[in-house]
Amino acid sequence: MAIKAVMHRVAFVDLNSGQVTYEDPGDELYAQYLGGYGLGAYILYTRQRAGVDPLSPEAMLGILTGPLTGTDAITGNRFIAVGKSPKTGTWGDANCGGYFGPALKEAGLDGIFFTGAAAEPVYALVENGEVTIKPATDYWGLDTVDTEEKFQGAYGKKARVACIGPAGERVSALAAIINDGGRAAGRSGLGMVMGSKKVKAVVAVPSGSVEVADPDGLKAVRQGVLKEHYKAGNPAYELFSNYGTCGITAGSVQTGDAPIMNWAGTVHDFPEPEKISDDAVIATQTRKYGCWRCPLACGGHVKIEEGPYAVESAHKPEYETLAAFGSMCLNDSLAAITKCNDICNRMGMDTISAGCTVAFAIECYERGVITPDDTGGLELNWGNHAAIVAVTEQMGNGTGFGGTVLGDGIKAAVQRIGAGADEAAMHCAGEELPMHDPRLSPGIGASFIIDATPGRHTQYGSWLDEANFLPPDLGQPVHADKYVYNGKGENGAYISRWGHVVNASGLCMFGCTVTPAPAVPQFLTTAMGVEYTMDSIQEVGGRIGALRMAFNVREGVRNAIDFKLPRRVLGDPPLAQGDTAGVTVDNATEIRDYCVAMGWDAESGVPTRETLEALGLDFVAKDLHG
Amino acid sequence: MAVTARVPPYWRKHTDRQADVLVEGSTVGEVLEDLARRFPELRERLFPAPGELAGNLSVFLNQESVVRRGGLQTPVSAGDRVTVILAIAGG
Repeated sequence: MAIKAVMHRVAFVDLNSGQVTYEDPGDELYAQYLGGYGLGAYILYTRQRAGVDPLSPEAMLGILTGPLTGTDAITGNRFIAVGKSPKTGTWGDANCGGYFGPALKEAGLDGIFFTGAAAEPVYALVENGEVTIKPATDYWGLDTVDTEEKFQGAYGKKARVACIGPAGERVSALAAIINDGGRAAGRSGLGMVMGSKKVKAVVAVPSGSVEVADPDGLKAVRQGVLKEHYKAGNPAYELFSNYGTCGITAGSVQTGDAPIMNWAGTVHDFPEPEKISDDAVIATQTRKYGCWRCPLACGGHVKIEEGPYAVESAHKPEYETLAAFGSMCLNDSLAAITKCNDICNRMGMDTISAGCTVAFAIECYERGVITPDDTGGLELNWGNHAAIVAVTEQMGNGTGFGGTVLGDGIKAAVQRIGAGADEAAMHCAGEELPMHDPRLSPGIGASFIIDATPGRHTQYGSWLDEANFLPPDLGQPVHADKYVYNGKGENGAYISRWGHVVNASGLCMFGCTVTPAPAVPQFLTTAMGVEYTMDSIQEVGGRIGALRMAFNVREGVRNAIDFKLPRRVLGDPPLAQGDTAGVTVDNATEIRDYCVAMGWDAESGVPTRETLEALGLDFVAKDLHG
Repeated sequence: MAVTARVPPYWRKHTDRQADVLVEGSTVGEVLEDLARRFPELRERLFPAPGELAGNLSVFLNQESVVRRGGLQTPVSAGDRVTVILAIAGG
């Protein structure tokens, strides 16, 4: 029986020769790894040599959909880029919505992998399951919005484009892969990998549809969930459908979830967060934007009417962007943040990394580590929005202090600036930290370290329980007090295994705060024709989590030993004010308990032989344990 | 005494789009009770059971959470601001 909801076709492009081959991963791999970064981890682990330079031609870059992408499953619209992260030297992935993922499947592919490097810029055109590599000279140098418009001019409005901007072309570590003019697969530096291969874009021209096993059954699950949960009175639904993530910004500053002043401040330092939050943002919105068939439609397009940051039409800044360019920089100019967001989207930069790098630079400037002589006269003081916008433009253009010193993120900037800069460097293993504070939700401190992608917030764990961000009816083990660090492991492991399934399926984590958890195995079962239950998807999630971590181990990385968070981020010393005053997080205990619950070595985080074999990963057990 | 209650953004359709509502009370609990009395749509969202604050909410008196200050019994003063936040961290 052939599994449904997948296209049974993955393309492998050798950019050195221009040759394209196609493979059907087969029912067993789809059933065991689903798609997205599950299937991606299997392919990279089995085909890419350990120790490869992620920016070398030998390295692989994958763009994959999940089995629920392009189906009636609610929020089934995601794609995921995978590769070895040039920022962290670990497993890397970046998840994104919009319209590109469904289009790639409807163009006939579950995913596309690139190896080699083109001599001249190219793009990959995907039509009717076939990939054609074409010259991209006419597109090189364009920003992401113009790139998409030009491709749609050539291939029609139905064509969907995932591309890099000028930052990726320069092989900047801040580079993201952008689609729909402002949806970003931003993290892990995978836009940098795409640029290193001189791949400007993947253009998917949809023509077919995704066949599922039980269309009526899938529709029935969808309709039942929409009727019962996607309605007024459900807090998560009301939040996302009315505001999107901007709706939590002021509250997150108040509670201490949003880091302030490069993780050193409190709400007392940023007393008017409502200026960059909820109603203030919505007042600039000209129209809502929803990803493919999403009933939440949490995105939007905004306009800044006048002033130095006037923008005719830009994507609405997300919470992460509002905090990174806002509270982190003590910048309460919404217009300036909107401008920075638009610069990042057009130039193809990750807004989290870019905003955090600016906050780092401001702290360096305020401390006298860098001076106007270094910055070319830019006065990088807290809250100086003119300088924040100017330096962000430089980072995008690759010019001036922003381009030459900050243009590859914090870790590189520390090396370029030298003595004294390290104290302001808030990153984990080279990845700038997202806008969620372990002093409020201690579990995310563990996740920053022990997920295969360090310093990330879209990986699940106990913090999602602590943050009230879990789906209804997940049924995970309960942990009563987030500041009692012993005994949280089972809770965190259960939630993270769940999250791997969500991410590998092609679902959106926001939608999965509204959709009741048992609907996910029901979506998979009716779409794929394979029976999944809440119990069996725990095994699938455990397999994916272990394989991603094994990727790191084979690279010589032991997350639990090798990676540390900046002391400040864990409350050492603790904050003196605010809702998280006095909190110092015991990250080591959380990490140890989590590893034990996952069946990984308690001290190093290496998946044990027994765990790997129990998950059917015997080939990995042999690699790691002989 | 009169204090300001700040309503979470996603509830403002029930408060005639007001973010800040002038209400009466001498404790945080009384302030929220008055808010629920003025805007009945908020009652179940604030108090799923009588006198019991919804578990997904955080309440701040000016800049500090009331959790460590006496919860709903925390006294308020004229001119204070009580902020209700849906305690979701994400996005």
